Amino acid sequence: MCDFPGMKDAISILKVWLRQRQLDKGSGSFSGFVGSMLISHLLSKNKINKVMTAENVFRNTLLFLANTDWTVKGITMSRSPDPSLPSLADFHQAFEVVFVDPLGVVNLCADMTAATYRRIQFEAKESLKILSNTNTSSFLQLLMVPKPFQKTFDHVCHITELPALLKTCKKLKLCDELMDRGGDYVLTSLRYIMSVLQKGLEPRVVLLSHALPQKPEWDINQDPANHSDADSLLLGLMLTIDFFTSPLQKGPAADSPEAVGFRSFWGEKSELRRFKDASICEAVVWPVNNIEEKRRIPELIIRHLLQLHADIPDSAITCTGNLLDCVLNRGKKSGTGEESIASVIQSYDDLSRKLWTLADMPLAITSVQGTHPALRCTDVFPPVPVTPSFYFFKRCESSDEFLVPLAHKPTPAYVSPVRVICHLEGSGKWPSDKRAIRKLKAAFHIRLAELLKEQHGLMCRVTPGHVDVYKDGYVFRVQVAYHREAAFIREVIAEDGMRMSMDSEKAFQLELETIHLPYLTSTLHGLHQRFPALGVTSRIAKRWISAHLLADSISDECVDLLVAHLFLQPEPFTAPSSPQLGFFRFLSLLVSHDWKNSPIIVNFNEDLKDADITEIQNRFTSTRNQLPVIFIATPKDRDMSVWTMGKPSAQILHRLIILASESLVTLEKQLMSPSEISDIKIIFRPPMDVYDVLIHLNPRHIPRHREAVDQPTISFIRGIVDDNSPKKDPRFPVVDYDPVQLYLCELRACYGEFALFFYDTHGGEVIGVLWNPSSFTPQPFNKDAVNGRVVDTKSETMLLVPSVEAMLADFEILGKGLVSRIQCQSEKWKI
Amino acid sequence: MAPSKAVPTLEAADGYIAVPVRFSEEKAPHHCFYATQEHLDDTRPRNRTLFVINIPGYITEDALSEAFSSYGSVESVEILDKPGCRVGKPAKRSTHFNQKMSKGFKVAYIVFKKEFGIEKFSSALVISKEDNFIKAGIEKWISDYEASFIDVAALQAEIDKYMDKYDGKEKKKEVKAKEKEGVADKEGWITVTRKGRRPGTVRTEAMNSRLIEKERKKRAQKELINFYTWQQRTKTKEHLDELRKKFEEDKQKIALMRAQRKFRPY
Repeated sequence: MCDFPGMKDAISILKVWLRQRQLDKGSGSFSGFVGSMLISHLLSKNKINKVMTAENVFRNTLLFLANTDWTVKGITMSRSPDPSLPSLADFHQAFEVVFVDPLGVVNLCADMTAATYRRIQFEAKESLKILSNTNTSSFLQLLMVPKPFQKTFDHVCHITELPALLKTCKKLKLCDELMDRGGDYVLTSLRYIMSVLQKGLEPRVVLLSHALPQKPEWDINQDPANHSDADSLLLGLMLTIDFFTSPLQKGPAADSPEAVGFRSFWGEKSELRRFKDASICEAVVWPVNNIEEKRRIPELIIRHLLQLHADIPDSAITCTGNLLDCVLNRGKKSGTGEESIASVIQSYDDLSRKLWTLADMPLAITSVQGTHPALRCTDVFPPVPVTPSFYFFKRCESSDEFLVPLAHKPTPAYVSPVRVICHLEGSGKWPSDKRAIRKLKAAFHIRLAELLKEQHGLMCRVTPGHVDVYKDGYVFRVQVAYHREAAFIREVIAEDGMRMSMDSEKAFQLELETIHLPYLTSTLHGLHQRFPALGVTSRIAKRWISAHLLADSISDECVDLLVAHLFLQPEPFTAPSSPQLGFFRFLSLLVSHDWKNSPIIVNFNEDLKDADITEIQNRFTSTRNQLPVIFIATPKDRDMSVWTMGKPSAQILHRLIILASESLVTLEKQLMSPSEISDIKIIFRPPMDVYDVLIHLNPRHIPRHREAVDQPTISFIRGIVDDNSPKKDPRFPVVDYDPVQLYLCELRACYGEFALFFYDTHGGEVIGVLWNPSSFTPQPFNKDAVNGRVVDTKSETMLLVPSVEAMLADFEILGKGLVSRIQCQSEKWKI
Repeated sequence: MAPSKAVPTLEAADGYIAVPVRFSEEKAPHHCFYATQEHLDDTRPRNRTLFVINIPGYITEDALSEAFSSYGSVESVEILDKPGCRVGKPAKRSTHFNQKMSKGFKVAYIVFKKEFGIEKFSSALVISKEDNFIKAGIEKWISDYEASFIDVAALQAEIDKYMDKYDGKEKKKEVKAKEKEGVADKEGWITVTRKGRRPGTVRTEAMNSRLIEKERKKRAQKELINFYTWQQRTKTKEHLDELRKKFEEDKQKIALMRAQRKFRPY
């Protein structure tokens, strides 16, 4: 030991590694002692030698852990040839995990369950992967990031009412073992429960494990805590990425000998089924209708198997894997809307095929790309097909086809246009003047509408900027784009006749819409195919941000990218398979990431090589001050971070971090102690007392009222026919008409310099207003900057100050019909 | 007007006077318009015109005309985004493009029929809150929505007209360029165009920098390095400076890394 410093350090490192993974404490743990014994075993077997550094010793230990299986072939440190000692096989009969001490009589891992051992093995494998990856800081991820149980496993299950386990022991005839363990029925039954579940969940989980039951410390004057005092047993499931939602599990053929075992294992759930390949097999089918329910299958299996084999009643099991799905339910419809996304995408695919094959277009279409969030599966509430009911609307005067809302009826349901960008081929005929290009684009819109109507009978509405196409109940907003337009907008001719390129906001916006957004949409859609939990995670994250009235302060795309980052770079964890875990990690990313000093690099398709990443990092450090507060680099956008340029501001990010840390604490508490799950939506309810003024809105004119976190029990009928059967004489529905957004837009235009306005886009009933303190300093009179200020009568020098009364009155006038009342919460503005 | 408390007219800076506005007889003054007869240009009759600023966007021209009529009959009211001179006819703007309406506060020119003095204002202006005087809220948004439907034929006609004009202009330019092709001007310069027998390239910034770069490279190739002693001397010196600079940078980097180190063992 003295002449081998590497070993000493390696033991410490191993202990830290175990501690961060919560594996070193509790009964059946891989304690530091076992770790030290393992390393000395390796030394005696010459797997490591005395010249190795600590890092090498540690790596070799992990390698050994990853490659040997102590549940099948245990290891022994004993060298004595004494035949009276028990053999390894004897140990294997008595214990699940075998590691025999030098005397050859004690199993050091006697208490350890196979599930715990598998978890250690899994961790070792993952850690080796991180160690061999050169461009991440492995030290940080392996040894400094704690991996708590609830952040590692996709699905966490609690077994409460532990005394029920006593019955389990009786049922499984474990009385002898119970005696061996001094009556600790929790530990006795644990390994049997785990083996049953492992068998049942086999194809659906990567890893099934349990938290180590902890013995609490006790005072010297008191009796030690009993095993029956523990309040719950924690099971964790790490799910496979896609199979876990499969409703059908195929068993052995009906006439094979294994069928009996299968049938007795699954009980009455097992049934005979005939498959497409004409085989007749035993199978287990779970009754599910939509994807939300499919995600619940592991929970159903656990409940069923524990009830059947271990007599644990339903009431004793609490699964906290899918609690957050409820915030994505809209109205009375059940499900989290994955089906609607699929049908939007289907309809979009059909439209794009039609656009491609459109005959008689003057210029060929070179690409059709969608940019709507639903097309990248991350729209919080995806569009649903609508059929307007005629009596609810007025006909448009100019054309009978179109409908217009009526002032005395409630605002019609919001129809979100699905944006589609259509690039046209370049040609010498395109003009080289920005105004002419715009005119020509409008002409193309007209032509497109005519052709779609002629060839496919689709109803279209033309405006100079886009064509709205009403198809399958969805409204698609098709926009023609020409790839050189941005360059022409930027072009300025200098005095000496040279053509120069000048940065312009307009050109940047255009590039965002026609180049960056389509790319992002298709990439994320591809990524969603790889990680099905990505879309829902992003939707829950957006819902949370919106619920805290910050949706307008941070761009949707920024959230999408942050979530994609969680899936592409989950180290030291693995990519989440359940949306809830994804959201949990999203919150902790917000809280723990060092936004100021490190960039977020989202490496789509591994397009960025190591050298590129280093270059991005270097450029980031050298130009940090000019970059936005959140910096996200992608392969197509290496040094601009286009999606976070304007927003969020530093203050908003700060607020977001505070909210996230509070939500994280609450959520963690709720997930870890099932008795406290009173109301999971609590983290989706914003504190309203920080705002200076609250503008209460009339629900009658909130078109997305039903999307609210706490769904209104009654809301208004909004002019939608329920059955979606095609009508003989369809009318074009009201599109993209949301009075609240229009109101906010006007408020921001008129009073943006005095106040900030916050609103929950999804059915919020209140607009929060925060005065901007810097705008309240008196200013000298200037005829161009009066903007609602009044001359302060008290001052001698005729300074202008904002008039709060006038502003409050204006809030009411601007939102005539929409605003129900205005509530002042603070007197801060009184100077 | 206001029965209880007459709001005095206020002198504000820069030749403006403050005119408090209230929405009905009972309510307290709301906004404050600032009016002046100075700073006017000649397009409007000076002695009959009043220039008012700080008008909220929702107030219509009718409402202003009604409100100011208590000081004398009003000939015309113009609400604009920015102060500007009167144009002979209403500007012939495209009906379908450039429709960006600015929101926020506006200015107005009020022309009275008779001569008008600014000193006449003595009390608050009353704008009755009747529906047709204020354009805001649900009704405005619905009418905006209705207005967004356009006549496709008219749009097509406008585009055709514009494109015809544009094409005409382009053609003219081309003809002109062709005429100039190869013809020297007074001082003997020949304009090179993109068309013609030997077309020139367009002068863009990128092209320019590319040319400069090319030139620089050419010169660098010709240059003799390591020929004079001073060249070597400067070279070593530059190299040393570079190294020193890099060393400083690395030191800073390490300091930064140390500062942001997250290692907190228990």
